[in-house]
Amino acid sequence: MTEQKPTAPDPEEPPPSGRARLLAALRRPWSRGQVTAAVLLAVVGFGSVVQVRANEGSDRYVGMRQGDLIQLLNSLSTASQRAENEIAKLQQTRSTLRNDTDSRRAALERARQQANTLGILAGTLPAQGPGVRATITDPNGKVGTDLMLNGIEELRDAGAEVIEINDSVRVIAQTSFKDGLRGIIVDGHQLSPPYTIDAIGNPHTLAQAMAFTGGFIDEIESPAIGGKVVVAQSQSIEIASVRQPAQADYARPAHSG
Amino acid sequence: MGLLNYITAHSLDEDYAHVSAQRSSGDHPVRPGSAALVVMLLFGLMVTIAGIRTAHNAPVSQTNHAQLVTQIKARSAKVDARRRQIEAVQADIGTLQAQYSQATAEGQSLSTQLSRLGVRVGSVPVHGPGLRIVVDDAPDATSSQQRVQDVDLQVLVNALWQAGAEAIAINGQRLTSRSAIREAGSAITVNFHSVDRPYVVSAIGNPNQLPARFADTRGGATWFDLHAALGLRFDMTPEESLTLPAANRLSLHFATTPGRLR
Amino acid sequence: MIAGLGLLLGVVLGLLLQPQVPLWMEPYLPIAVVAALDAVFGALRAFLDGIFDDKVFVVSFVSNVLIAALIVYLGDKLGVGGQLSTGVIVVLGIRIFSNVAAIRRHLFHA
Repeated sequence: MTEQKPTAPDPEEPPPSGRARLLAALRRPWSRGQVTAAVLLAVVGFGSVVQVRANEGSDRYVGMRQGDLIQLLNSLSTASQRAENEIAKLQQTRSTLRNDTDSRRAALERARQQANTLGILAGTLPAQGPGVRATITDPNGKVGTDLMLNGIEELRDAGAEVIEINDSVRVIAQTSFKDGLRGIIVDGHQLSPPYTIDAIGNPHTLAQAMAFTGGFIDEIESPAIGGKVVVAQSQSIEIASVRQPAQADYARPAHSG
Repeated sequence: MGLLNYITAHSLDEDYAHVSAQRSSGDHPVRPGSAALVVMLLFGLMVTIAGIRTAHNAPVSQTNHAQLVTQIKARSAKVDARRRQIEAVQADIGTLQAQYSQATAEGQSLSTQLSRLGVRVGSVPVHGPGLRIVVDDAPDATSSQQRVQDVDLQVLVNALWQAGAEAIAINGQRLTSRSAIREAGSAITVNFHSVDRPYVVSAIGNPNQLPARFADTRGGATWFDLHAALGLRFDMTPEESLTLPAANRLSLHFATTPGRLR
Repeated sequence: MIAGLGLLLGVVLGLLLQPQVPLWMEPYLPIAVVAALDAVFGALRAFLDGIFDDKVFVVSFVSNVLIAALIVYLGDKLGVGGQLSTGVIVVLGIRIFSNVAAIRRHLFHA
């Protein structure tokens, strides 16, 4: 519907543009055409809002025809079936992965425990446990490498698991003893009496091993050496000295066994 | 012209125009006759029947509608639940994969560590260059002096460690921090295993330095004396490739790391 | 006039008799109605245009209904029943709109 212009156009002037017409219409809001348009647009607006509301509400199925509903139902069934298949596949994957992960973690736990054990044996980790502490006094300075070596061997024979000397040197497989000016040199560490040997193991067995006739204590306390050994059993021997982790340069793991 | 334009333009049957053009001009428009009456009757019938049918089906179709909507809502909820389940399982899988990778990585680094530690501790078999020393009682030995005793082996082994040996085995018994060389009766035991003569001591280390450093040790000197003065057998041979087995009995029953249950 | 009377009579008969529609015919009834509607509006427009003819009305009515039903039946057999019926409805709908527009022009000079 076109709007009636307030004044007749000048024949000389070009026809009014759409924008000019719109502006003119805005200036005269109460013409019949405008009111009619307003009423109809109000109806359209009202109807749109109602429809949008109805569509968004949970009852969006109200306006749908049976065929559409059935189609929707079928597509939902298909989606549900596909989802179930997917779930079954994923659960299978998860189950396998779970088994693999569990066994791998179990293996890892075993490896950690093994690393712990090896660390203690290699002297790279501190250790504690029941055992004995043997204190050796050597007033005549006669306690030498051979006696010490023998003592260590006796302790090992009695099942000593970890050995430490003078609270400062950790004894490992590669440990060697040498006689020095001021006392025994253990792995390059100069020690002097009194010597203390801490050993973790069965306290009773260890103590007995040193005490038997002709054994360590007898030898140290013999008149020729003139020393004294005191062995104290304990439920918590603490061995804090550690060795730096070392790399073997010539010995390599032999894989084929 | 376009399809829609065509349909719109030809919406009235051309027959009407055609027939009317054929009729003689001057006639007033033909009024609808009896044929038209019958057709309209038929039309009315059709519309009514169709209308009645729809009204008839309405309650049934309403029920159907309601049932379908219920089913749709139920199934829709099920699909949502399934989708959430899928997400949950996928999340689980993601977590497990991360744990798996982490365990694998840690396992690999531990494996390297175990191997390195094992060489020094004696829990893995090793091979490398070194020395092979064979010692034995003196031939026709009469006194214990002329026989190899446990202390002699201890001294020998001590000297080898001092000279820089990295791994030692006696008659296939790998020496560890728990190995004891003892004498039980007339037999020597290593690792609580009795070993027979001759005693083969294999030591892996620097093949260039080991012999000389061994000779420099007091233990080395002692053995040269034992050999020279008492006739004990002592054969030292450099070897390019020695293989030493792993040791048994390496589990701990008393020692633990502080602050941790074994 | 006569045509309107015929329509009324048809409606009354339908309400009174309430005939049962055979099952095989039921899916084609709605489309037949729309096809018939197209023929009826076409006739009304022709009448207002001054070119109405009985015979043409009958032929167009019958042929519209039969052809529409035939097309949908064929579609069902081929498996594209839904699509073909949609197409038929679209065409008939456009024609009805167009004829009604022409009728409106006659009646309201709008």
